[in-house]
Amino acid sequence: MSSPLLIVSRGSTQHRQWRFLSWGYAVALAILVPLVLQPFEIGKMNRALVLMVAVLAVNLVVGFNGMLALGHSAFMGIGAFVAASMVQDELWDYWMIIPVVVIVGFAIGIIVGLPALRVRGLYLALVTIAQAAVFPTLVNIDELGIARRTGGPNGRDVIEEVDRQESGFSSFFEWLPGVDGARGANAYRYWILLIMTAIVIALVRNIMRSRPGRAVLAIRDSEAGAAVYGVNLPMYKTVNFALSASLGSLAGLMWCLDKGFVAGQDFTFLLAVDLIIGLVIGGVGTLQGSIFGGLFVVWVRDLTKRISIPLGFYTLDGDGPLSAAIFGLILILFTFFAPGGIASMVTAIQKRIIQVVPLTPSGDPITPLEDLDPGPSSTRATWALRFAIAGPVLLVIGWVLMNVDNLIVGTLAFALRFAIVVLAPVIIFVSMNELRAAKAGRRGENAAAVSSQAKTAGVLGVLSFAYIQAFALNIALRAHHVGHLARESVAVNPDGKTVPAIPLVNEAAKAKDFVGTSGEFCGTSPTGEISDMSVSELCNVASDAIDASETPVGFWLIGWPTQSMLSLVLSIIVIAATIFIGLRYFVFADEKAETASEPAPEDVGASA
Amino acid sequence: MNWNWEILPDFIFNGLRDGAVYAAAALALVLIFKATTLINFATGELAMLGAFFVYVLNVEQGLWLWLSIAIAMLISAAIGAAVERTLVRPFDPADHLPVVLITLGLFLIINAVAGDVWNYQVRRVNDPFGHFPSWVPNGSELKTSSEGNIACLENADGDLAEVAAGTAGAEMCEMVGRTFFEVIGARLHYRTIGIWIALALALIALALILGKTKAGLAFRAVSSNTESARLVGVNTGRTLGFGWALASVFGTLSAALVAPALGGVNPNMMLTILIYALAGAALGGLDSLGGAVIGGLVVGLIKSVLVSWFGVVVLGQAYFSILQLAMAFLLILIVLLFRPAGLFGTRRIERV
Amino acid sequence: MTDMMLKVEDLHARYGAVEVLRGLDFEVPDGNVVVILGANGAGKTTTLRALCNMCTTTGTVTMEGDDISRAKTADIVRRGVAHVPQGRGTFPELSVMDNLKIGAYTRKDNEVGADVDRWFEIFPRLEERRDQLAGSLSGGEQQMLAVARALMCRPRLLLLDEPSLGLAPLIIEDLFERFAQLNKETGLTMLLVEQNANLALDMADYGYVIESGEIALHGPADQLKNDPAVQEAYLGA
Repeated sequence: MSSPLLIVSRGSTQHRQWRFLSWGYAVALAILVPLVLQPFEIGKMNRALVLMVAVLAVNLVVGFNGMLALGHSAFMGIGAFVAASMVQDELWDYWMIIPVVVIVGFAIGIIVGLPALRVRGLYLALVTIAQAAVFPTLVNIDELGIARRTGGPNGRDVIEEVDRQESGFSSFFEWLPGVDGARGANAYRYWILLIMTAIVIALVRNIMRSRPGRAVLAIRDSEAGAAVYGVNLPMYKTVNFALSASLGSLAGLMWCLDKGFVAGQDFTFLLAVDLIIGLVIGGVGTLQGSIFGGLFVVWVRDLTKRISIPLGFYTLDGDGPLSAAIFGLILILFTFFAPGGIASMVTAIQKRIIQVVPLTPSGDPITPLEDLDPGPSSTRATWALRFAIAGPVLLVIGWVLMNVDNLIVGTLAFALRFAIVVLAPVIIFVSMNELRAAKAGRRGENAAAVSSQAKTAGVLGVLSFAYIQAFALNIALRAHHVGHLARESVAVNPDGKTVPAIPLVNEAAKAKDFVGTSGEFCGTSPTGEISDMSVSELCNVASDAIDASETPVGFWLIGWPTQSMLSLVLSIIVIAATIFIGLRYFVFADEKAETASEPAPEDVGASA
Repeated sequence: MNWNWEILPDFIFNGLRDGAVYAAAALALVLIFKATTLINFATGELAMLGAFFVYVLNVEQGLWLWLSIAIAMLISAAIGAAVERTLVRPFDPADHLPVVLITLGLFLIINAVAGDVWNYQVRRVNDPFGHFPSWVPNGSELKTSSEGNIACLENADGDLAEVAAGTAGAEMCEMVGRTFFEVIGARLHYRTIGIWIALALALIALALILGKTKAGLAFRAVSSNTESARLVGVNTGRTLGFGWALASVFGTLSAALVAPALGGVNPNMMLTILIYALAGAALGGLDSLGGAVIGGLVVGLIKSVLVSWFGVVVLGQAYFSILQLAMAFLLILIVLLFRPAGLFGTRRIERV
Repeated sequence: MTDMMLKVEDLHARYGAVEVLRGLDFEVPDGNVVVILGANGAGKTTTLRALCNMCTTTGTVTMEGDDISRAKTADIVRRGVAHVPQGRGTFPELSVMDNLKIGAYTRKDNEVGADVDRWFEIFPRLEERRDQLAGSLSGGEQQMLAVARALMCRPRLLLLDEPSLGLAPLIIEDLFERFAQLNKETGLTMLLVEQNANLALDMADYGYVIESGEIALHGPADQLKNDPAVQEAYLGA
């Protein structure tokens, strides 16, 4: 697989299809998050969205402008405290505070950035690291009314209600997937944070493509070069830094909205380091890098926390020493071996799959696509077939491993099961292309073999794709149904009173988020020691309530193979077809090749 | 306005005592900046590690305190050189991002490992300058003696307060009470003088090493012009490692000197000291060794005289004590605004 | 060939993707002054850097019969190669005396002091400024200091990279006279890179002209000086 499997010209039908598919996947994932994940996991996703914006803010300075900013925790803190104070003391709504937070962040960015950005080198790093260290001490000042507004060392609770005036715009969110009660509070905030994050990313993308954005990038690549072209270096650097500071403040507001609690000790130097780690591991200087970075920081922190607790290395807030050490180690390893971060790994994989050929101004591909075709010796069809078999095989392995009660194995199982999602469309695209190529005579004497392989792979690919669609639809429907049931279900609480189940579920989720355990919807913690008894009681009560609700028979049209007939049948068909084709093309391939090598080339096509 | 001049000398002495610690830490930063033009954000954590070595050797193993400090310095020097060799040298020093990331990663790892090995409680150490009589047991026993009597505890400024009296407590206070001179009506603690002497001796040693030895000459040559240094046959890599080793020695010195005043060693002991040291280094000029010393002392003085004396005593605003760290931040901003090269920096600062 | 100080065969050098030297062959006989002429960007400086292994190279460099093309810079210096880089290459933050001492870094004998005195005799201006920082010297003084510093390692081969660059004509003549004197008195072998072809060819025994990383022309200095192509390109005739 030396050349990419797919070569398309920019703007061609296939390219558009590919992009449509990518966006479709992104939207589907975004919709499935609030439907499928546990409430406390949605909470983690919310935190990841907040950190995406924060990492993007850091990226604006570090990745796009080549300066070192290590203190964005302070900007986040400022945004969070301004938001908390406006919401609690002035009774404003969150959306009204957004401009305030952005302006405050911008102004403070100018104050910090102006002195530091007049000189080259590490001075911005020096200033910002001091800023990160200083900020948590400032919120504790009793005088000047600061502590009253920030809550001082104890922090401050903030209401999570987004729309106090009931202007009606929040009722719009009730229609969105997942905002159904069972995970209502978290899913509701998920949609708000998702929309904010998407707007910020789109904004930054457009700014970077504009004239000032190109100036900022030029400064990163060569300060002297940019200066020669008339770029006002201190001005652009400072404004860019201030913009980054205002995005950081916005992330602080989102943090406040997400957590409903602000405290100085949340915005320490360690948060700033987390943002840097997210940036580096996500990918410096890319928009996707910020997305990966936000997800990475939250989920790997969660993972290290889950590993730490059974080993006994933990503190109550979950930032045990082990977690910090693993983060430090990962940071050093990435700096050494993968300086481009996850974004560059994804790009590398993508480059092996698809190559988009740019167009000349007249609209033709820069290199004719025929010249890029590998010709009769193409192995693409074989690869498509291999993928077509690998997808279901990995799926089955994933199913099996899923039952092993181990965190690492569980994560691996998830990745294996997910492989088919990526592989299926690739298989369809490649096999379609190969069929066309064979028909057009570009596969020479191998045309018949290629088209037969491509046909088989294509059928399997379509089956796999149908399976993914059905599966996604199923879990979405099921999740929605559970939410619907939960809204109407009642539970008997520990005092013996009948109460709505949902608050219990939410309480259990919050408690579990705090303790940071894994497991089923309402499972106990792995060690059992950390879990508060009332938490697990809460869980039991809540889940009993949901289980007791009537599940309509026949609802599970498709689901896990053991759960429904249709799913079982479909799975068996896919797996059997895979085994059959796998045996035929790969295990017995040598025999076939021997028999096939004897007759003349035309006959090979006929016999296959 | 309460111009309480009588206690000003106390604040000056305290400021210069803290300043000496910041000066040693700032020297660690500047030595590495001179060697590799990079700010080592793990300086504080490497220093903290050194202080823990002193703790292990002296308190746990019972070695003579000064011998423990010397051994800890040697171990730190080896660690510093090893860090340079394995983690810093592979990268192009002109590209700041990777090396800064490496030092941040080191920061996290060292802090976490220390936290795992020794946990985050403060562990009392012996004062190298005889602050406590040798028969006072180490550790927390001091605070919770059998009758709940608390003997002599230090307050934040390193002064001693007789919190509760008991026979033993009074006796102890009697003994530790003799640990200072009266100079112009102020207390000049033996510890303060000891810290000054230790810093002065270390500075003389550094001057001799850099001025009189071949390795020192090579270090100055490499920090002045790396390319030419290679062309006269200097092994630049080894010389940079030597610079990191020297820096680690000074970091360990600063941590070992400051630990008794902090009540002992703990993994987070150097977090704020690093910020003061950064302010001192920026004030003196990031590439000036003499500047680092003076910058560190000035930062200590500003913190003590301007913030603690003028702010808290004269203006009577208690919240000024919270502003100590903010003052360091403000100082960095002011230096960058008016004199980016620092007071004594010689390197040409490129304005943009 | 024992009388060959330096023999270079098929020397290639590159900076990233750009190949700067494309197969140079030249020789520097013992006791001779050899000059390399060429326009800006021809690869003169890179040639000297390549000899000291300061950039990525392929090819063979033989010094007195030993292959040094893979040796470390420090080891090459120990073999007696002193390099005066372009733009002086002194240590501006060190005193003149320290600059000379660092020049003797690779030496282990006790005669460093004597050598310093000797070069102070030849460059008396340096003695006057022995405790001044090198960065505060004038351009000509810095060039003298760079040469004296290079001589401190008792080289057998001196590589000079455009010593005339940025100096006043009178100072250049003075400097070149000293080079000639050094060569005559001590038999020091020199490889000189220059754009000032007139002076360089006067002093040199043999010359090479490089263009775009390849040797375009070579011959005895007198012959080159009379070559019409050289005259037109480098001598302003």
